[in-house]
Amino acid sequence: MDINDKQKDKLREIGNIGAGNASNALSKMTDEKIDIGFPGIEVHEIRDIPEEIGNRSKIHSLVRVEVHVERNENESIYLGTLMLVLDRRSAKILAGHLLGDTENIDIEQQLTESEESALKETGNILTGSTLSAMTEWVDLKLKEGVPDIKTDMLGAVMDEILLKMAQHEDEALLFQTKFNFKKDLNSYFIFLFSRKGRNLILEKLSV
Amino acid sequence: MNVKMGDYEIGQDNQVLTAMGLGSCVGVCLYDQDNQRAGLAHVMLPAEDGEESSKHADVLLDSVFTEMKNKGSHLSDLEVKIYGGASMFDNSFDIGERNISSVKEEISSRGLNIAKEDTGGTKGRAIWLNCKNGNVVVRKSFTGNRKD
Repeated sequence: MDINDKQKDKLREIGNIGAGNASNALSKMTDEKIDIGFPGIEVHEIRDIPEEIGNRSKIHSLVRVEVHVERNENESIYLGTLMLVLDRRSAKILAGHLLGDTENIDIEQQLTESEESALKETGNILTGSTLSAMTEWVDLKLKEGVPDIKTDMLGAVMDEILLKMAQHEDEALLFQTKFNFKKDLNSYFIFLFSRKGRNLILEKLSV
Repeated sequence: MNVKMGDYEIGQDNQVLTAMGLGSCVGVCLYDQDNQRAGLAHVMLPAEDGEESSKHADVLLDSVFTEMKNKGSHLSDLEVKIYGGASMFDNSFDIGERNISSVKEEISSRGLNIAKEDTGGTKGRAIWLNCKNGNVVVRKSFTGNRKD
């Protein structure tokens, strides 16, 4: 893949600012301190990506938002997909905090409709704050899609996102950072870049 | 042995082949009763003209059928079961459905029938294929296991 260390560092810097903005937004929503871990940015074979994030067969909730670059009225390029990935327990705890009900969290139960809505809305807000950070750096018109949520085995919920990319490439650039919220939550903020989208950004950054 | 996306494995006797977290991908199970041998292919994408990557159903299935044959299995005796091809999100592109159709086409072009299938829907699946007896255990999220 045509990406060097300097380019990787630049993308990490942008991703870090985006994730920082996103964690501030999440902190305000939950009224809790949110730390972000050191962001990883690596090129991976698409088929290996679920294992990079967690156990393929374990239940996770995944909020996804597709991001496009608008070139003009008639042309938009798929930049990639932003994801908030939480294991089953973390999804219930975060949803409880978002809804202001931390007393009655039962992590054995499936997410309710209102919990799913709250997580979906979080994905929306996190995407918005990440993209506004990115826009400042790359001077591109970025457009976010409608957020979607699904709770199922990690491998299964990631399939469609990965297969969409796999139609055109074998490897993908994965940016991921862990949100440390209540210490033991397993929640990840992930941006998977398409090759075209990544090249567009690197071109803009001239690195 | 876990089988990764776009890959296949062949096992014998007491080995168990697995495909975990199948969403829109399709798991194709082949079983040779005479030799207690089984193959499992984890199909990512439908067949496409001019594409020679194992990501695509035609290339991957060609490889697994060829290796089963090279190991001594008679292709016409193989029992075939398929699982997966779900549409995981509301705003889905129809990749799961296209994978199912492509896999079925590849199977029927070899004159084989599908003995069991659990495909489509909106839930992920995990499968365990027992190489000794060809049994497949299927697990869907939030439901129990089922044996095929």
